[in-house]
Amino acid sequence: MDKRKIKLPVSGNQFVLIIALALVTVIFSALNKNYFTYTNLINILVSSTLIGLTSIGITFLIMTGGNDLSAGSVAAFAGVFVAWALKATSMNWFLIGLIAIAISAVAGVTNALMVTKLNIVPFIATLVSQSIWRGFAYLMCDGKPISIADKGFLAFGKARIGGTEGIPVTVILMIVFFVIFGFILAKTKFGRSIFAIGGNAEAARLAGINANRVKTICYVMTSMFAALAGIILAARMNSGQPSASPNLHFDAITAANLGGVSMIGGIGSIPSVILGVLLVQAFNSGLNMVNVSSYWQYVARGLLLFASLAIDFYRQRTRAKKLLADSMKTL
Amino acid sequence: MPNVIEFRNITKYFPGVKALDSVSFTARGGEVLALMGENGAGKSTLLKILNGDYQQDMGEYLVNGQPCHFNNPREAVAAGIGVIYQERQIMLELTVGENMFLGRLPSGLFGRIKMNEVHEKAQKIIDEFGLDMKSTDKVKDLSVAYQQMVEIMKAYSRENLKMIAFDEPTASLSGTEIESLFRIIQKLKAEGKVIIYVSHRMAEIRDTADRVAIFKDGCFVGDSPIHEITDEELIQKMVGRDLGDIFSSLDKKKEIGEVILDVRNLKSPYLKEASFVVRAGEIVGFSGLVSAGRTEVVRAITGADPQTGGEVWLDGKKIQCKTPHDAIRNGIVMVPEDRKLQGIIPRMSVGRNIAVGSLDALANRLGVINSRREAEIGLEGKQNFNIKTPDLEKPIVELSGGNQQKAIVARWLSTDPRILILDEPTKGIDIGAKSEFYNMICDIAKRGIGVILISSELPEVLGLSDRILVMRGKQIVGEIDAADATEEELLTMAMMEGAVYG
Repeated sequence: MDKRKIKLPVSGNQFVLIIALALVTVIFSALNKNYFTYTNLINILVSSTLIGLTSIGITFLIMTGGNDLSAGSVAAFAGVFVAWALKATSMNWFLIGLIAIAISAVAGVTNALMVTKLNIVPFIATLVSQSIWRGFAYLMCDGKPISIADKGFLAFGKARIGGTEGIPVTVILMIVFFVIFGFILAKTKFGRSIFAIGGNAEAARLAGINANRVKTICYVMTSMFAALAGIILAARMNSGQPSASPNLHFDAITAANLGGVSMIGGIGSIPSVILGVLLVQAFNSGLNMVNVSSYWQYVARGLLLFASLAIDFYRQRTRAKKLLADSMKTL
Repeated sequence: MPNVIEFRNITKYFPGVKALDSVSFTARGGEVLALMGENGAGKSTLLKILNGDYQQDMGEYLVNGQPCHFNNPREAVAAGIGVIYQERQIMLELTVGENMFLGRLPSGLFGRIKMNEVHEKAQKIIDEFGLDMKSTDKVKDLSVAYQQMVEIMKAYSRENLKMIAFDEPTASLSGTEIESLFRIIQKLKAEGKVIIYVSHRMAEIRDTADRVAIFKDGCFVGDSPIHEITDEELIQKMVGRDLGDIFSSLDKKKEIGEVILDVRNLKSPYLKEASFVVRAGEIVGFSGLVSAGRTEVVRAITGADPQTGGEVWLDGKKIQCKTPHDAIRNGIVMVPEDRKLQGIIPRMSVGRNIAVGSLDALANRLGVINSRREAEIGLEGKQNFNIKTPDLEKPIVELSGGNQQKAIVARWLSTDPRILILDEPTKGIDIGAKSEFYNMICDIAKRGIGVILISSELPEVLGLSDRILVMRGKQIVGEIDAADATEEELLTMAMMEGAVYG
């Protein structure tokens, strides 16, 4: 055992993310003095719940070598469904929320079937769902946003623990899910199977892991998290909007990749993804606050993902080169 | 001036392996040079350097005296280097002519392809080759042999063609098809092209080659005009290896017990039929050439391939393994053939790679892994199998090939198996690590585990096994007591009969 090596509480990648987060904060704070205020930082946290919850599913999925472009559509559907059901039925908002999540799980099941049974590549398979569920969202409300009046439901979106300046309930919910799924990924057989499948699917199969079952669970999970994000958004906006969260999967994928989740699969950790989520949201909110037009925001988003992918690529390549150089030295 | 291809001290590394070790040889136009060697001797790596798929790490590659550096196969093809692989590299939906001139189809106004010109040129070559096909035929309608001819003509249609290499070209051809292939090879030879011919089939090489170059463990052993070397000498050069001492010093004394595994008329889509038994403490060797069906037998047993017939009995009970998971639960585990593609999970740590086979045992009812036990399994594996790694947290891909393989063996032994299958366990591993493996395998058998050993290295099969089954053409063709067998005998059974054409 090497005792001399001091183990840092954060990994190299996490350290870089923290620096990047600090840098983004400093830059936007300099451009807008309202950026670095308690209220705004809480706002950033609240906004980050959408990307955060979705990124949990996306992280699991990308780690198995999958992906999901339908998360934004599924979120919009769930939001509209809740708004519609609150108006059309007298059911309790919590029950309606659960039903919305359960229906959204169907999107995950069909995504999984397309990928595992029809061998359609994940991007294309989930593109199918992206269109279908966005369509369902519009059909459900005939294209017009449905406003929400249910007090209990709206309170869920806005309630805070510790008074009006306290921590929002939705943020706590996100943290709880981060903890639970961080544990699942790191400490359970299911989590270990995800690492194995993403690392080498054939080796995992020969090692007795049922890859299709694991993948299916990941797709369903992602759709359910996206639905939850959509419901939270509806509660915050007082309405179900069919055009909501068009970039949800994009931001979640960026957050996961920034958090070190390799697009080839097999590598990732939830704590790093949390930092990725915060970075993406700090970036998006900052752009809003310094009045960058939404058109330019699209460009900026793209560049952020590109930068993240490029870093990932160079990290892999440096590693491969070092490995070969080591072999040449020792053989 | 005749064409000349020359390799000077070519060395090629892969992570953890030296695939070619300072290989030097020359191939001249107007002769057919056969490359021979066991599986893993470095022939495929050599072909891939020839056609620009790989680049050498050291040494020089000269074509007609000019040093060459191809960054990809396209550059090699453009320079007149053609390699014909076993797997077809042509477009089935296109016509013969289109395939031959793909990538350089003559075009006219607005990029319109001058189809008439294509077919005219193509038909000329077809006629020159004396083949019964039309340039306008779709490739998918041709026989496998003719598809291969299209590939050869595709290479030939480049005026600057200097070399053409064939990788096991007769694998899927019939007797008469092979004859017409040889006729074409003679034609190319007469035109002064360099011909390189890779094959395991001795009779074929005698028929078509002028000279043979022999490779072993990534090294060039020597070459000889084909008529100046006997089959025995050739085989001896291919296999000759100073492992004799290693095997004679192995402690093989042990008790062979009851039958554990009884395989009866097992069939799969890739296997004709196999029946055999494995006893407790017994090492059963499987010998034969690549694609003789050895791997297919064990893949069918473990459920990696679907079983289409027959039965597998374990400890007197009939078992049904639909997936590798079923096999593992029954105590049948396999160290697969391709360590990189089927064994290791590259970026996962060494410790977790070892423990990943024991996930069922490690997880409680909620699926939570007992981390302490997991770490123990990793550590036990490291100690029991002498895995050289500074720590178990290191990604397994950073270890040498031998240590990776030890970790995979450790993975499966930690599941406490009844039957251990080793498919080419020492492929690409250096001699030192090999002898460690041999001791390990003997120890494993002594514990009463039944071992199935598949190996293309004859000394290995002979030195380790108690009993040897020889396979050819996807079925078992013979069984020899290891004590009575010789390398020559095994190789003869695997190569000579039936497989010879004509």
